[in-house]
Amino acid sequence: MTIRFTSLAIIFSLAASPSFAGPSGQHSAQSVEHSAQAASHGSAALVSGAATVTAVPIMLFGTSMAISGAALKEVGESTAGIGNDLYLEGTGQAITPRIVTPNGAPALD
Amino acid sequence: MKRLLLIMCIALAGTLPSLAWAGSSEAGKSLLPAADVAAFSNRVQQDLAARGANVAIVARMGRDPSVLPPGVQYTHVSFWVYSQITRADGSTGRGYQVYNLYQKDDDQTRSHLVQDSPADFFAGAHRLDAGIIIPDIRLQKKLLKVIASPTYRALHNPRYSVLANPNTSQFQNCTEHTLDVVMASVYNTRDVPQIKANIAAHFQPQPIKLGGAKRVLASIASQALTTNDHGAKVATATFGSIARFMRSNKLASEIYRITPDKVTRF
Repeated sequence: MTIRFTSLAIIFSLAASPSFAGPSGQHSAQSVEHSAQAASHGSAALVSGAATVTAVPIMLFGTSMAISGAALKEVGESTAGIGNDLYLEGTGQAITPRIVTPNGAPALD
Repeated sequence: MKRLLLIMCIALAGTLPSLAWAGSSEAGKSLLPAADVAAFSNRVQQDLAARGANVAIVARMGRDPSVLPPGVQYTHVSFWVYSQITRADGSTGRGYQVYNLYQKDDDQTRSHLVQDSPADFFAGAHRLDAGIIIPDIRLQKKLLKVIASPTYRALHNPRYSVLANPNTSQFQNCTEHTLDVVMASVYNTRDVPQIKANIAAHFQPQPIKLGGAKRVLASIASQALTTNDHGAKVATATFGSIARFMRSNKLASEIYRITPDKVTRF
């Protein structure tokens, strides 16, 4: 009986584990669907169709802003990629601890 | 021994759902109607534009709040940047581009940086409820420079942990990356040890109550739930802790919550 309960508990626990990590995948098709729905809902902030080619930040400080009729659709991974300062795995290099003194409290000039 | 194993497994099954706030998920299957998601994402965009926000920090509720630990409301945070968008067909328009750190689907211990749209962002929402921080205009300018520079990617650590310790660079989640970018902008640096030293000195992460057994069992169940980068107590960056940090240091101009029918100040 205990073995049976134990087995069930193991199965239960293994089955439960995916639920907390959350759906992490890239479901582009679904993204497209949502964007398409957005396009049909009047405010015209989103449009469906092919992925965004570029998205350039706008510097319009101090002026009025608006969402235009042909804004955004992006399912790409333009910023995804390898290579960064923190990705140290596999380098085989020892990391030398460094003592860093913090700066003062954050403040804007 | 068998009884002990039984108890452990039941504990594992029973307690892990309470950690169900990973939430850095990319357009997962939504429980909500797509039309509602689309309408809400447009509402948030228009609200931000009406306030003149070039850069905002936006959080979504990707899980049922009842399963989130005390002090945690939102599960995913990203930067929204007002942008000139050019589509594949050549048409252009203006709107918000969303800069995310997402947990990978095929390996939950890894993350990648992904840009998507507001509708994509809310596609995985459990509830249409967004937490918003509009940084001070001076900080917005600094953030724009960092986000548009190689520093933004350089600050990404693909080793993902739901409960990443923001004081260290061992693991990272979406909120920690957001915090790192904010700190890089405030202090005009891309030096990770300096950023971490400043976070440790000035930022108060959200404590997460986890008993010893739960910590052990969680990391057994998934490496994405590791707490190896923490000491005796577990604390991580959250939307709420970033909001408190920015408010107390006068780095934010507005912090509020928006739902389909109302806007509430935090």
